[in-house]
Amino acid sequence: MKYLLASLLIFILGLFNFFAPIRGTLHFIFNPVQYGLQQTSANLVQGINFYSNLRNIYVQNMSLLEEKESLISEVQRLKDLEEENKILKQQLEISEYFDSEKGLILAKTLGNFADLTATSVILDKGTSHGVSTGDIVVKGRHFVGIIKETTTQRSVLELVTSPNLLFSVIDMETKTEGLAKGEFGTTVMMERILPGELVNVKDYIVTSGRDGKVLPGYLVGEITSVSEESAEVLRNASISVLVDVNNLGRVFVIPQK
Amino acid sequence: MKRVIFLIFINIVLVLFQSSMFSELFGVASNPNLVLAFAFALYFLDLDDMGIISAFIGGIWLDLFGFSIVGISSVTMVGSLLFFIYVKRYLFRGFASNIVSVIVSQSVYLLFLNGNVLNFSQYLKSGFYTTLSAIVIYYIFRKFSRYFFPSGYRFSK
Repeated sequence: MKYLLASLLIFILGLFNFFAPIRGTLHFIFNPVQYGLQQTSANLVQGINFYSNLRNIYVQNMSLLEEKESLISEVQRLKDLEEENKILKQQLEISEYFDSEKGLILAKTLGNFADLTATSVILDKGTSHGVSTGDIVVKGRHFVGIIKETTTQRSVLELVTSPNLLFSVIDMETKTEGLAKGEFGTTVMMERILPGELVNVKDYIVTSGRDGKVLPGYLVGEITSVSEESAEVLRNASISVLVDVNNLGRVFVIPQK
Repeated sequence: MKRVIFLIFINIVLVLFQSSMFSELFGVASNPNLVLAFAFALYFLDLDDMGIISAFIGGIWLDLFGFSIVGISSVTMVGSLLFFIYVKRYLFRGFASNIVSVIVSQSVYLLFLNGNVLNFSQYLKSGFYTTLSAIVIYYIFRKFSRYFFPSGYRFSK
């Protein structure tokens, strides 16, 4: 009974964040250990998956080699466009108003054993490293999520697949706008597509920045299906997230301040 | 004092494995609660006092390593263990009762931690894996008890 009372007392003190310094110290000491253990398991799981899927990997490899060739020519075309864009900007004297690549904070993901819905992960960086609630997290040009909670040494990242995350997006090809909401797992639903607006399977969806929450231009995913056209009802489209949210490894936090 | 230090260290190891390794290996939904499993393994061995101390210490480590309010895990795990010790002493004993006790305790723990967002099958799955872990730890202790404890220590009363 005394241990139950002691637990209750600790819980009451915990409500007032009494243990924050102890927690910060523990996180600081054990971050590298937990990351090491997590990466060991991730490598083990990948190894097991590799050997059990050798045939599929071969087929995937062949199609990836073909895709690589077409991407190389696409990159060349984009480089030409970039050069043209630079020249046009110089001519029109437009200056860069925002450089989102500055001040990125590299963070390692530690999983989140307490969240059984698998819609959030813990990062090994916190307020002492410049991370704050509301900061967006990316991996390359992929939007990964938004910081939900912080302590001095760690923070909780709400993933793009979380149903609690709602943000504005735009179709890169057709410029159709909508709202994206996570669906648990690896999909995101693009909602509130107006009737008559065009959205096609295999279109890429990026953040539009219209909500002021997320910076524009970050890749969310690829459309895999669109709900049937109807004159009265707003449509939905299912987006497959291209980044593996279960194996993020290292990500970048873009501080909003 | 020695057994408290032993429990502190073993619970740190269990929390590290549970939070970093097992959640990757088995997935978050199937991740067994090793801290609860260890406490219940001691309960199966009729080491109720040690089980309560282990649940108390392990619960605090779990909360310190995570983001929940410090103390919530201890309250739920110690509370569940006390309840089932009472059940074992005055109502039911046996293998089935032990299994049910672990599943119910893990479900209560998840309910306090995650709220109402999980469905019944997730509670059952997590409870099943935690029970399995408790049984494995129990058998390890039984088999190697003479290496873990001095000869004066007996498991069965």
